[in-house]
Amino acid sequence: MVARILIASLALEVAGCGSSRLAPALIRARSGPAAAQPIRRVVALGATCGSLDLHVVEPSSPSARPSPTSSSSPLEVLECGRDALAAADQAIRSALDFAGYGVIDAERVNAVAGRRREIEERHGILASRTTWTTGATFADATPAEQADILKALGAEGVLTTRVWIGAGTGFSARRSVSVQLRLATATDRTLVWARRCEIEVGIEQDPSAMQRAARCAAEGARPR
Amino acid sequence: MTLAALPVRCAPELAVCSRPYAAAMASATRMNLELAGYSVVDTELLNAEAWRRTTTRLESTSSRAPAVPQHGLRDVPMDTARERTERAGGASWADAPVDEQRRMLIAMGVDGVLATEVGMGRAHGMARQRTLTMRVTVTRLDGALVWRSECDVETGDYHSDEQAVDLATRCAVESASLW
Repeated sequence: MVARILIASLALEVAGCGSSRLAPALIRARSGPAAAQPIRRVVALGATCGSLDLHVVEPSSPSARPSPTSSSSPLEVLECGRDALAAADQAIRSALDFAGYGVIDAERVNAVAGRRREIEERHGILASRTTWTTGATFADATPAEQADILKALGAEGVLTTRVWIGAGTGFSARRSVSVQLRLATATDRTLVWARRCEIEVGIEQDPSAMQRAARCAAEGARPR
Repeated sequence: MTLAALPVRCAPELAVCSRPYAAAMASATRMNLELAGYSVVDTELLNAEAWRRTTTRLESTSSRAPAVPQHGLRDVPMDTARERTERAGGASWADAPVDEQRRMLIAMGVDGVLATEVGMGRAHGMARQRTLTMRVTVTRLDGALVWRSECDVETGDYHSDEQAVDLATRCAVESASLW
């Protein structure tokens, strides 16, 4: 009898906590005071990311050494990796390019002329090349220099991207992945529009979740 | 209103004070306020002095035959590439003296400062639950309070620390963005 009650309560709990369906994508959009301005040429800054889906780093890993300021187990964010963010940036920029914006990658904008030194060595079938590049990109410049660069580029807008991965909940450790885009004027950063797409992902690691949310957030953004 | 967002401050003994948690809380707070109509400048990304970056890329190529013979392929190039980027010579906004920080914010058209604080109470009860407090404050550049929002979430049987942080962040900012 006790076993039956236990099984029944477990079944109820599983049914209650874990519906097999994930929530549909939730899109929120907002127009700002500069929505009527014709903005086409846009400098896209690299995405920033925050995640509560953290993983304890194995002690064998070289990056597992605890930092001098923390005594607890080191945690790392797997989903906010450089490659995942670069892929999300790429998805957003190509979608906006296709929609009619002229997107300039901030990472490719030099604040000063770069200097490059290359050494190429060949030993039979082996060849190696070492390249040193010194310079400064848009992200390395001061705000005043960035304003000058935007003016020189003829950029009318600045696009920022924020990514958020929520904490896992329930048996299936569902979590939400949100990507938010914000287009602002280049001169005074007045809001043109902001768009956010929030999707839900299940227990498995979903490397494409961020990209899907990024595409969803960029969908429907059109220049005036 | 344009806000300069400061890094998240938390109680030093708090496990949720680690860098990834702080980045997550900062990200969630700023996203919600931006969607509510605020313009948020990340002070972590502001440079008081320009930085220089040096990228070293090492590529090696070998046309040696593969150790395991592959059908139809005699000489397969084995390429490897390693890249390392180093930033030096600059100063961030946080490194600048107070008057320089203020001057920078005014020049950028910033009207106020966004501060986020997290605190955790002592464990109590059978489940050793604790109360996580999230406080979001917006002040003008002269220090005058614009608004403050605070939210408490209990951890324990039903909420892990991560879930409590998630809920408290949403709660503190959503109530603020409804105004």
